[in-house]
Amino acid sequence: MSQYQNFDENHFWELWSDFLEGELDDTGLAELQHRITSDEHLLKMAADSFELHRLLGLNAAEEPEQRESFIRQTMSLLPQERQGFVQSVMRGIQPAAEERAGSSPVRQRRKMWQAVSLALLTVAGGIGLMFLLWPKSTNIAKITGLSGSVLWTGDGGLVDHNLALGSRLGGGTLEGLGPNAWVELTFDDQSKVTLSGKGLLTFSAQERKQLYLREGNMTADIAPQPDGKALLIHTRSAELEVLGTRFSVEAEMASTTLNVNHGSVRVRRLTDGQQVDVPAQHLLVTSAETQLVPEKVPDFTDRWQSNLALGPIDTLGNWVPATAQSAARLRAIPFVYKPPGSGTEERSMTLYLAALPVSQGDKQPVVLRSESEFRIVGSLKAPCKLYFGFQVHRTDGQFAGKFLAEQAIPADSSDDLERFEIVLPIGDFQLDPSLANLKDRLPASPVGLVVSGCWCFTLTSQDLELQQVSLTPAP
Amino acid sequence: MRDRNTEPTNHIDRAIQRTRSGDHDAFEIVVREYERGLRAWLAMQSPPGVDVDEVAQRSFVAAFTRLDDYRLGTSFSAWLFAIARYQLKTETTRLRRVADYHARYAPDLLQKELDRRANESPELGRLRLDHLQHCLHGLSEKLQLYIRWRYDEQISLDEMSQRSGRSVAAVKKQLWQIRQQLHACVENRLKAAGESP
Repeated sequence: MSQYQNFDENHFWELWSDFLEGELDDTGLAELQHRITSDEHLLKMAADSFELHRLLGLNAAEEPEQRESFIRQTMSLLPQERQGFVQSVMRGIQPAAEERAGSSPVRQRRKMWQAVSLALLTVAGGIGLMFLLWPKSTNIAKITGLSGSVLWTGDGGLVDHNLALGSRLGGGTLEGLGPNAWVELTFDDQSKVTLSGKGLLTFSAQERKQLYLREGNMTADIAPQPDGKALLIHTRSAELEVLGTRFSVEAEMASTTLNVNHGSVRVRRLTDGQQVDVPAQHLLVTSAETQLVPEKVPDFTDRWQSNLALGPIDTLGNWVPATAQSAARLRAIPFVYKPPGSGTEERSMTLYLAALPVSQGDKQPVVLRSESEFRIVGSLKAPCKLYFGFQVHRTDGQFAGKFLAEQAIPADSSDDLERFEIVLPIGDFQLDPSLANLKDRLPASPVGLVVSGCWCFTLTSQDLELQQVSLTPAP
Repeated sequence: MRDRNTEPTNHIDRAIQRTRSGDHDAFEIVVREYERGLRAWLAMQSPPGVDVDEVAQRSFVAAFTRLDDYRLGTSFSAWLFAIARYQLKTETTRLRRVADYHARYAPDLLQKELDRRANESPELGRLRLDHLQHCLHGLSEKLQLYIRWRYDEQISLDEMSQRSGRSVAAVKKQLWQIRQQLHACVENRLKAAGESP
């Protein structure tokens, strides 16, 4: 029986509190939905409470330093050149109907070029003047690696699902939509930044490069920057100043984990302004509670085991707590996968996916050996094909690929749900098909690489639940 | 002679004119003027899962790129909030398309109720934030402590339970009651000042 069944009117607050704290499970959410659907008074109370909750959060961020940080970030996101010039020329020559009609960003850009060119030629009477008047390009970086579902928002709010290798971008936001997302950005000075998995990264380059990692994992290989113009990386809890080095950053709501491979990075904690230099082969976790002291990067391990009993920590899926009858588990959720550059909705597909982090934060990095094998324990409602994948990075933090294996789960009539336990030796894995266009740049085998995270999915809804995933050397 | 209609009527219009003339930094005056009100309004109207600061920043960037569309002498605030409303709608549409959004964040009806309230005056967000600050000062020291733990330090309910020596359920109930008390205080102050929606 659900923990939320049979509760009386007064227990609404408990349900609602769990919702606000992100601790409401599926059953609770359905119960909450039912309660507020059937009682207008409760709906109003919930909406009032939610508004107040949001205002309290905003009030907590009202410190002058945080407001200044917001203003600085906003100013650095502004494009170098306003679009007003281009727009005003376009408005003069584009029929209103055409302006209203929806068209793809690529077509819009092409039209804009044609329109602006025509207008300038008309006004100036020659191509020479066009070059004199043409606004400077705001593109500052290029997509040099791409896999999984990645969304780009730029050009004052244009959303683009169709990034492709070689796309040139101005300032804007890259969003990794799932655990298998990966995108590499190369700036004009050859500095490289990659965003792996689910995450949000905004970048701009005004007087200096600035990156805003709201959540997720990022690695960077930064070319030496000009004096006084160090690259700045902002997270919710810290500001990182980088002159030229190689490192990885993991940003969560209240903490930032920095792992420096080469050079050094200066970190300032936003809550108290304390700062510290993190040297090579050291890591630092900045959160309000921790001491700001870099620690040596821990040694590698070749063993790992998920621990879902601790809760849904950086997992993707619906977490189900342990009960007297069963262990905690992670239920797959529908995940719409849209291959990069697919353009149309037709090519998107729905995966039923659950994902877990492996080498994370200040924990020991988990490295793969040739004799390593994954053991996956879970359940399905019916026999089907199961896919298991993982992402790896090099020991210096740079992305090194994604690997995938598949396994048919046979029927077992002993249960309503098909419990399965499979073992996948590392030799069964192949480079993820989504990385086919990068295979020459990536290692053919994951042996010797560090596992960032893993995921498991089916292609149809089969109530996939993971109970445990582990990695050990074969006996 | 300058056209009276384009004469800057206040410091915001002057900043906008400077920005239009190429003084990029002048736009900071605009951001400083409106960031608090805009973030407060977005905080109140955004359904769960929306990063308010990000939508606020996108709104400022969109306003900056379309600055030539703004007519000097009219209400910049209304123009900016119209952009923000559009940005918020775009973000909520995007979130709805994320497969597990409803499962993770938002009961449909709550989202609809918040959408309905999005038509309230943008000014109310800033006013509510002002009144909330007064109301917080009116809380007892003990109750203020719960708010500090939850929203400033962002500690878990378990830790709040340990610090306060009360059960987690009691902490949840305490937070619920404090929010109700603060909501009533804010609404009363709005009503008393004739600022109710």
